[in-house]
Amino acid sequence: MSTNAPTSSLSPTAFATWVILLLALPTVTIFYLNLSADPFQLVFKDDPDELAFLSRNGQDRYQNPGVVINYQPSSIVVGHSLAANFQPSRLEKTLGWQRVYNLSMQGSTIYEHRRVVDYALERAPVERVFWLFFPPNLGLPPKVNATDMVFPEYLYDWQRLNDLRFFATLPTNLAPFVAQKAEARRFLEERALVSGRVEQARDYATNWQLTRSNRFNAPNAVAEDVMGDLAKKPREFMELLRAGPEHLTPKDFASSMVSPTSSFHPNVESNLRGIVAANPQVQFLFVPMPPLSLLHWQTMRATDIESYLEQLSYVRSFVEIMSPYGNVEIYGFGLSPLAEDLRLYRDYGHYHMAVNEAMLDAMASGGARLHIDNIDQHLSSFDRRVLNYRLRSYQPVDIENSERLVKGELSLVDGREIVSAIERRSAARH
Amino acid sequence: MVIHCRENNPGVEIQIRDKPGAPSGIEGPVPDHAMLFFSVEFLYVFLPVAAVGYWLVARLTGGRRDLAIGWLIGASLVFYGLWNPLYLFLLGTSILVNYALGQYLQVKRSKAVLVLALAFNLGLLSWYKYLGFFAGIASAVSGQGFELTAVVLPLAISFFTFQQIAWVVDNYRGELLEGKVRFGEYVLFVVFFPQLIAGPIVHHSELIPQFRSGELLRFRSDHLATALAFFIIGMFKKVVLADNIAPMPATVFDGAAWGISYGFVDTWVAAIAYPLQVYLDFSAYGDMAIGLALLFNIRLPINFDSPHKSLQMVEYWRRWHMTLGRFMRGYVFIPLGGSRVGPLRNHFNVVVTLALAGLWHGAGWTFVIWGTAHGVLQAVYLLWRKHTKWRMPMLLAWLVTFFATTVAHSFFPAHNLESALLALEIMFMVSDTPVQAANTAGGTYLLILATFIGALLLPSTRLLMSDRYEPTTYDNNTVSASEALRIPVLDGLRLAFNTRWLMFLAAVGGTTLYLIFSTSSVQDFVYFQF
Repeated sequence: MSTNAPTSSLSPTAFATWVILLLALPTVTIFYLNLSADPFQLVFKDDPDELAFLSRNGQDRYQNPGVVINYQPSSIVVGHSLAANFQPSRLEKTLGWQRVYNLSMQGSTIYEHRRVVDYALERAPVERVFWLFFPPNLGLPPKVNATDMVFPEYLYDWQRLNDLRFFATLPTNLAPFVAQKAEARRFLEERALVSGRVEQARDYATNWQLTRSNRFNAPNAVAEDVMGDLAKKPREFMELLRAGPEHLTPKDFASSMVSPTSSFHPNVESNLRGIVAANPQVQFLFVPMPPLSLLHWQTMRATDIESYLEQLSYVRSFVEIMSPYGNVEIYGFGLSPLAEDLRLYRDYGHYHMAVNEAMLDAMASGGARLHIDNIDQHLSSFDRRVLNYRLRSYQPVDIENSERLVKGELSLVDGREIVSAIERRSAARH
Repeated sequence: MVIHCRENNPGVEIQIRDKPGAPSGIEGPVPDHAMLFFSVEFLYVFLPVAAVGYWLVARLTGGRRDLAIGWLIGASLVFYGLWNPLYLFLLGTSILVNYALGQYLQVKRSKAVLVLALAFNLGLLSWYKYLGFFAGIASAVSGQGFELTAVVLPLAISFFTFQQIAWVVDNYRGELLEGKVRFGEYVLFVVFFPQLIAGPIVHHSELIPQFRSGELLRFRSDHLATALAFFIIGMFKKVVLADNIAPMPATVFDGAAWGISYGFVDTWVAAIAYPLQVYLDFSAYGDMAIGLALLFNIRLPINFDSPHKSLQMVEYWRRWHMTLGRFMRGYVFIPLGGSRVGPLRNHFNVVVTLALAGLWHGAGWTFVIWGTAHGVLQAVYLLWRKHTKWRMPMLLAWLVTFFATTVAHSFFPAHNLESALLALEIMFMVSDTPVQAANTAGGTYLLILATFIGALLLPSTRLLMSDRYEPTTYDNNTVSASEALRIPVLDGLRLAFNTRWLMFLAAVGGTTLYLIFSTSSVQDFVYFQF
């Protein structure tokens, strides 16, 4: 490769031309292939008849920008998996909103939610933001991403030019997105959920329940999962629970403080309060306390009282900070009776769509509101419920019945405590 | 800090990559990313438009230099503004003030105006870069805490500030360029996009005359071919080598910040790998910058020249971040008295100059100590050379230099003094902290080893291109071939326009593009943070 080997020397023009051609041709081909596929509608809007969304493996992080740009929502839902099953058409029907789109992302952090909200507010005429997260999310540092799912920051910044990065990926990387999109479409069609209607596909844009419904209606399995080893030691569990503090009064909560070392304040300031204050024309509906199963809270109270109190103090401080804003409504579902029913959970916190619907109904009727005047009483009542909650075991029912259950058409109570059920089963094994 | 939570925790599967020791209550606006030279948007949109547009302007206007310069200024401002357009005002203000003060100093040699100019530039730099550092010192001294609002560090502020300090100082000294420097020429000297973000720190006397040259608008295909070679090699060094080495030292030095010890071997490997990574990363930027500038018929200085081959400490700094070195020499070391003072003062000047070079890199004690350590090592070398007649054998001299620089560099990636000392304690086996494995893939060790050997065996880009490219330099303090390790295996390689080089560049460029296209995440250049 030295100048002493001029046997096949080229003119500078030929040399430069060949270098450019050799490197440009493959990349142009890749761009062309990817751009013509464009599974997330980043450049080309899908024909409505082809509309189908995806909801797994972090694709939600890629599909949101396309949804915002192409469908111009006036109301959005953001949050993590506990917000993913809110159906836009149901929000429109129950709350009277228009052009609702669900932009939630599985396993996401408040920082990621904030990026989505920023993007949507900048690029669409958004009037309402429905924002759900569970309490520990409030204690995270202000700028963190989920570990196992890439958050493509470049799709959410103010530049459109760098969105091209998405198309500069090997076709083998993009092909699974295309295949999964087609699969999602087939799945919805097989269940007659989509028949060329945009509204129907939109309802399942982020939904995970359709593909994971088999985990519901198995209360014993959920209980064992939540309680861990303690599920096999019910007496020890009850002793642990009793060893914790007595029922906490509203006064106790009124004096509770978030630890000064917590990331809570920078997180709220930079990702939540700031955006609320900067957008007074937008209505924000926050749900910082979704209905996680009561068993989850009870287990935490018994085994890790500091975390339990810390998370409740996050909720209290959040309400305190946000209450003064006229464009904010805050909702808490810790007292929801559905939180007792483990049949409605696939694990400690992921609830059935019926719970989403019940939440919307409660909001429509003006219930479940939290504000600075009732938060201490609310948390105190919640603590009493957690303390007094008794596990129950249920006979299996068809999953469809859970929706009837929510509507009060079926009875929940079986009467037996799950503790004794576990004891019996354990004894039978031996 | 890494937090892993239970798998089914909604919303809490997180990884936190904030810098340990950073004040937890301060979080600025979400920064946007600079347009990297190897990013898709740069390679396939910005660069083709900028380059083709430039030559079209040159051709269609019959060689109107002012229009071509205007085009390049426009492209450069777009390039900078794509990071954050608000900071164009800052850049513009800095340019306007410095140009005006420089012009004034040409006419009237006023010390007060010089002081004003220096205060303006250093004040700007201090406000954005050193406020927290100085507040920390003031807080420690006074015992009172200060509450600071977060300030985003404007991209490239350290680079464009230094270039403009040189401009006003030279005007004060009466070291004037021939003819009046037009505003457009001055603006392009500061904002020329190939060197704007991370250098090389160019001197006005090596750039502005090129803007006036009759060669500026004469298209040369040999320049295009050489530019492509520079750019592809730089891109390879960054994407394939530096970015794949980076996680190893990052693991060890991030771990040290949390009190985690990674063991003797891993810490030494990290200590060796980090300067190697920075060298590859920063010299890659320089190579790409030179290639890009050459597309517009503009030559830039070389910034790195195989520093790992150095046989003594002074030579090391002639080969490491050479344009910063020459700036510090011209505008700090020589004004302090340079080497024309007594030996003690001379050594003191060396230490102070390098300590300030350290501070330029970052507002932290680790950077100051890093620079000071290099200064002390240089002073020790100068003393050795003065008082000893014995010349070390080449291999021993290399080993001593390599060992000394490796130890001194350990302060650079450390998050704080404690973690730097922890790393050093492990390296010198005086730590009793329990160790854990770094879990680095075997391939990474191999890559580090192969790259290190390559850094010793292969010629620098300067040598590789020496038949085709003559870098600019406004001083004579060039590298010394006799003070560098010479292993004549591949040292004679030179770029030639033949099919073998064509295949080589296609393979290297193709591999790099493959990596770029295989991943959606890219890493900024290390020196963007300075």
